[in-house]
Amino acid sequence: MKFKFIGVVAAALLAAACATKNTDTGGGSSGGDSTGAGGFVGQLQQVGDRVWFDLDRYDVKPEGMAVLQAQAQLLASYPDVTVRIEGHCDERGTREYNLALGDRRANAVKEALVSFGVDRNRISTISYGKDRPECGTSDEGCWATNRRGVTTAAGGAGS
Amino acid sequence: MSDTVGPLPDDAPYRGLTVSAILHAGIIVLTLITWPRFMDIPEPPVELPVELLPVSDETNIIPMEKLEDIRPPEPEPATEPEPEPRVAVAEPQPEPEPAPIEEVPPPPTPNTEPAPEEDLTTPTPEEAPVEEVTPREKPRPPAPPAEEPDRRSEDDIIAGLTDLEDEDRPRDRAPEERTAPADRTTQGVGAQTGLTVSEIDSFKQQIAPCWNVPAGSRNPEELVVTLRVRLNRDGSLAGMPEYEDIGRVSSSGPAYRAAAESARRAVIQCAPYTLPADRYDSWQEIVLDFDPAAMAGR
Amino acid sequence: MTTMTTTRARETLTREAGNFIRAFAGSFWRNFAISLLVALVVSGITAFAARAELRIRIDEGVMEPVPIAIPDFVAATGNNDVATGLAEVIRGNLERSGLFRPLDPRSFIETTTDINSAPRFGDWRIIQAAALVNGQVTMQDDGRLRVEFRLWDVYAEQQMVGLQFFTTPENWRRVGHLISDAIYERLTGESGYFDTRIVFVSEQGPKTNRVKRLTIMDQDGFNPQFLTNGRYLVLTPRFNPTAQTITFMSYLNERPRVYIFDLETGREEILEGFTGMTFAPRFSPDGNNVVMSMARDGNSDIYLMDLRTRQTRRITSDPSIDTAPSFSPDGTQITFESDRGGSQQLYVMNADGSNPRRISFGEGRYATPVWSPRGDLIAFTKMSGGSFGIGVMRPDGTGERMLTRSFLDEGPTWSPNGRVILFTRQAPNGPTYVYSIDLTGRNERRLLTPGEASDPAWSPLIK
Repeated sequence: MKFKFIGVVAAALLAAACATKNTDTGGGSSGGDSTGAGGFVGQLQQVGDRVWFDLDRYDVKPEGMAVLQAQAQLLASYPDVTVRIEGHCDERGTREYNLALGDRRANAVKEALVSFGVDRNRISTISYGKDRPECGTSDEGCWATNRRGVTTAAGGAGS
Repeated sequence: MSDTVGPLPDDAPYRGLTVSAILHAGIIVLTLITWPRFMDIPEPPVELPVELLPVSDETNIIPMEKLEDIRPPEPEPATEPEPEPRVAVAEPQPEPEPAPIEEVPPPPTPNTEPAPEEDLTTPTPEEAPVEEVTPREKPRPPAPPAEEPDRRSEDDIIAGLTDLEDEDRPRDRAPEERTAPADRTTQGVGAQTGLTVSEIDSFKQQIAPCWNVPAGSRNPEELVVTLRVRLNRDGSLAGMPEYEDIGRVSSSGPAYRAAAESARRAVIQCAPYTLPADRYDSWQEIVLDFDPAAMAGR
Repeated sequence: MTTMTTTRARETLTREAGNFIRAFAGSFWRNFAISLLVALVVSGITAFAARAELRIRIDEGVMEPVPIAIPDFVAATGNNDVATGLAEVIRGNLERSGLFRPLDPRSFIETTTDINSAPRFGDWRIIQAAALVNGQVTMQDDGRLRVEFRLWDVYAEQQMVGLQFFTTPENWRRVGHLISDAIYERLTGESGYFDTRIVFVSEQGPKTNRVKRLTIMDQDGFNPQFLTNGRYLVLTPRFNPTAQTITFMSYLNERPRVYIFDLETGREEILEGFTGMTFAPRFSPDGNNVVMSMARDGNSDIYLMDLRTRQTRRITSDPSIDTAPSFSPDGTQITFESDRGGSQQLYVMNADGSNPRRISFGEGRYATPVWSPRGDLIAFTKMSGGSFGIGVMRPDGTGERMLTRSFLDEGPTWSPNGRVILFTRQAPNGPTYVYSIDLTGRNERRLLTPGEASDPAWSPLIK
């Protein structure tokens, strides 16, 4: 629970950072309405760009499904945006297996988004296994943070 | 007699009957064979040896010249088959500088170009007399061998108490616990040995610290090496230990050769040996089977 | 053990003989029976005495490093650096193997000045050297270095090996490795592994932003060389059978795929033809194929690519994670890990994918099976009780033996002679290094890498 909270706070901070960046650079052409690229990224941070998984699991938990539903709604209002789902694992597994598990997690997120109405051609996946952790210490809290599926803007959101 | 080895198990009477019957029959048969010698026998032995040592696979001694004979004090002949002259040429490996992937590291493979045959034969040794074979400083076994009398009597009691019950003793016990099984066995383990179990164990303990077992070999059971060792009365070597099957040593490949040489080094290195002086006849020549299988994988 | 059994049988029989004798006590036949018994026993002994031969089975020994003396080589033409360097290279190699104990040169009594006369063996026995290596370095007129050496059996007082090498002066270390191999081979009976290289992943920076670079070096840590620039993630490099090519996984252009790297040309090439992420690659024993996993739609299966035709073939088609494939040295079978049974376990199948059977049945999860180059064992990672260890088992799953255990050990790779295993060890909150362990489970030590390192692969012998 604690880590989820940290995650939410982190997401909020990131969102704030992005919003700031947007106001710095976005004063020009693309306007301030909801179709802007920064708008998608910023709003993605607001609804939550990631879900977390239990140890050695790749089923999206109910609270994760709520986040993904919100992501799907967001994607519905940005029809040109494509996303890439990153699957990540904690360090408590072997490298090869974690690559496969990360792929499972990314695909679980993808299938959830599809089930909420997102065109599957707008979604790609990539697994980083245990090689791109977000948290670098060796404890359960850190591992829970790292077992994640992250939605990132891949195209149509910035250029 | 049985009183000294402890109480009999419950089913002993029946077992006793059976064994008696077998013994009875055996005696009748053997009597027919051995009767002519009957009158010559002076002393009744107290023990029935029942187990003969297995005949080894390696008793086919091939009568050929020894692989390396250093016994004659003369200088070694330069024509000994040992040295495998070879010439190899090594070419440079890549430079250690870090290379981005666009850069091409030099080829890592060396070319072996034929070079003129050059011999590195064994040089003539200045000294190789057989007397030098015995090391001046001999590493002693970590555990005292069982020939120390006072220790033995104590162990003997333990052995008498535990021997019959405890047949599954772990083999890696401390050596002294293993060396004492049966001193009442005055005629030894096999009829042909003339040494007691304790004395044999003591001998084994004297060699053990010098024998570097070829561990981790793929097939240790194929690496049994048999050496014939001749000893002087003082327990020193009376010559270079000889391989029973010299042909196998020279033809069985590097693993067997290494095992054979390791066994030979052990015999040389740990000499002289302490053996019962009054029975020199029985140990002036010993055949040793070095068997690494029991140590493998430990 | 045999001795114990024998003793017991003998004592039992002695006891029964006593009963037998007592049963006859007082009877008419008593004296006759006893005489008979005596006759039986003693005549037996007499019969054997004729061919009396004391035969003893030596089944106890030690497994200790062999003490070996390696004096600095003789510098016949003044190349002192090379002469001492060669001896150091050889001492280091043999010492790290755990099978040898190079003696301190300060303990040496005899100073070798001429390697063409026999040593004074007595001087070497006093310091308890079992073997002695004498060598000499000569700079020839043609600019090449001539290195000769002799390996002596100090106790048997005879030469075991005598070889000489010719090389360019800057290549002297490699001669040191070749000599080390010759000594190791002669004294252990198994092929050496010192003239080899190791490819691995160098790691730099914080865990959350790790820079990973493909790196190659000599097995003793010398001549390290980066093969990639660190701008993209690289993982799990493995050699081909000629040590010319490396297959590995790379995230170049954010496209995780299996690549091959040609050491001769420095060229890095993606193995195209897959619709999903490819990973966990390994060469077939003939070097013509790469076996690997492909992940697609959340399912990972094992595929084979023929490098000559670039044709791919699917080997497994199970809805589970099938990964970490490794060929048997004869190429007929593949071991791999799968969670098809509910958790990560080891399997062996025929090279065409038929007849998969599970071979791991211990407690915990098993991963990254790697077939030994001599075929007799499979090394693996085992996870149980909150720790990770490296172990070995026979290909039929019997004889499981754990060699290491720590917070995180994984990814074994075999030395070319199948005696030593390298693996990655990550300390909790600590650095990641490559370690080696001997097959006996002794002699664990850290590989000499320039920095943090992971995912090692040992080259075959460089021909």
